[in-house]
Amino acid sequence: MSDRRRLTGPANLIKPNIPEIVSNIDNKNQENTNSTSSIPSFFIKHAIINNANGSAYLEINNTIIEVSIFGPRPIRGSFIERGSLSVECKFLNHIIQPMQDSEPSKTGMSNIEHRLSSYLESCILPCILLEKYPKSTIDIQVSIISIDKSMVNSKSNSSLLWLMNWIVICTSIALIDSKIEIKDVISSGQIKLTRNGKIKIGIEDDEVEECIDALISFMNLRNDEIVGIWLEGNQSNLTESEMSLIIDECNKMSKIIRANMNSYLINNI
Amino acid sequence: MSEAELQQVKFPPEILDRIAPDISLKRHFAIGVRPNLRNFTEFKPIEIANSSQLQESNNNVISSSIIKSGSTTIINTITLGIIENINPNEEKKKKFTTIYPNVEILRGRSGAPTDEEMILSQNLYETIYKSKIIPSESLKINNLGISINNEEEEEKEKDAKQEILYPDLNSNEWQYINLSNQYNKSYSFILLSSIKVYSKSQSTNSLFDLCYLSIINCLKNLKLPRCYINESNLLSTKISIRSRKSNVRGLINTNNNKLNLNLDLNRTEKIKLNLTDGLISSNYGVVDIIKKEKESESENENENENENEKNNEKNKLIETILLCDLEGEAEETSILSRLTVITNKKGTMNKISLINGDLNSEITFDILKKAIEISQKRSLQQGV
Repeated sequence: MSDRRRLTGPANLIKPNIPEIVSNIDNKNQENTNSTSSIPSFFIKHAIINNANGSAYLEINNTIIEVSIFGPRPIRGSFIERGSLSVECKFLNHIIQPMQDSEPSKTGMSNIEHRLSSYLESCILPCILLEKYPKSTIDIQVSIISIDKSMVNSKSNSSLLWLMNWIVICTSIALIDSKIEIKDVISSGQIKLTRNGKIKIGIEDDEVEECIDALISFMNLRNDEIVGIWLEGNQSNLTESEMSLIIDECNKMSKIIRANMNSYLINNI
Repeated sequence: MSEAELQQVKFPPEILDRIAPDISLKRHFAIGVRPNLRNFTEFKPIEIANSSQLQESNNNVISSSIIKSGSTTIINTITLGIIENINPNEEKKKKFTTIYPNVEILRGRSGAPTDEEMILSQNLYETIYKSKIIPSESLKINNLGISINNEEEEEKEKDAKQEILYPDLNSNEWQYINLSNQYNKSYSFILLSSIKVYSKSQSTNSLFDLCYLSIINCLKNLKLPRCYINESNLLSTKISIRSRKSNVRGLINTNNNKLNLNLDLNRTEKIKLNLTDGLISSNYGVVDIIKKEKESESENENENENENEKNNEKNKLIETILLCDLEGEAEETSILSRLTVITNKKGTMNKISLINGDLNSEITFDILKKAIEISQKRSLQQGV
């Protein structure tokens, strides 16, 4: 079906194939961040969008995320006691989405966008005091402006979780900017647990050995309550001790990021 | 018992803008400023970023432009499509081609594009087409290459080293290649532009100006890559099978993935354009403002009210003025006479669009002349 509302080019348009380039430069950059095993520095800015109630912008390496929050806005129709929340994560049109085999349609969200959106929604739902906003909606729109080049080609899950991690953080800042009442600021940590018990932070795509990728989101100043868990990889043999290790490590990373967020908020809001 | 008093309600300017745009506009003009605090003939400053980050991190993006005006940010990326010229004779008649823009404005709701987005896209599409900027010839793929696997050299390795040969660069090897039917087809590039607008505060007309600027900016830096066909694809035959799942009848697109882009930066070629320097699009609104009321000379108390009103009308000094670069809700909704002029450094014009929407403040020749003069000045100073 052709899209009559958009100018998508002539009907017999062929999408050229773009061969993958193995670039050495990117991998070197990656190694640098891995060897220090720490979180790369990131840039945040809030209130960048005038016609949204709250917005934030985040840059880390080549990943650029923008979140805008619209609401609480009144809804039409019958009365509802609690506010309703809608979350939409979208890649900009030009981005070749990771782990996407079929051509993404221009209308609606792709498979990957759905997964990102539903994780974000599940994290934010327990955090917002929705009962304070009857008969209204809060819309969160995330647009992913740029992603790391390594992420496009990699088939590993860690890059997706890495992106998700920063989406959560950017959304938290936007929520504060929107002055919507929340229980606590959400931050999260993302790690990779290898079979021999090693913990790694950051994206790695040369890793072939079996491992578990984990992203856990917390409300760190509310008794470290967990608001979201996303595990990827073979979890059939996951033991209790491994799980608690994962949670502890994610919590550590989350706290570091939270400290950064706090200092940004104190200085800038 | 206290009397119930009707309290006067006061609104801050931004709310008055929304509920009574005409009143808000009049009050601002009465004190000599626009609601956005600019002068009447002052344009909003524009910043153009010269970063190529989006191109570098996305293989499919061949040109990009980021433009900021106030808080409004426009991200424009250009990707390529390829089209087969089925009827070469007919294609020759079309001397100029255009770009396919897709404007998206962040507005907090998802779903189908709004009227504004569709109008902007269509307008950009037509403006670029009619101003004859992109010759069809410049998007034609002339030297289509063929990639060849060097099997003899590296037989054992799975990914045999690929070599891409082009008729103009490798003329020695080229004579030994058997060309198939596939090769003899003629192809052209199609430019697809996706424009995302954040934090819209301008009127639709101003947004057009910014989008136009971003497309021109993209086109200026545009370099077309070379294109090649895989040898293996040339030999393979495909049988189209009608599957139960798909509704596509007849032929399944057999051209899929046959054309590859060569991303080697040394092999790219700058697009040949019909661009004149200093292109810029400027928009204006035309509106009547009441200058000062003349003080009535005779204050005869005997005169009845009707006459008083008439006198007042006469004493009002109405002036039709030109507002540059409309912005904000009050201007967008209550100024209906609009002008858009695209000018260049050569002193010629690429487009004039004129809407006489407001019967009370029509566009006169003088106003039009003034608008063109301002646009030309702007072209010399700010045009890209």
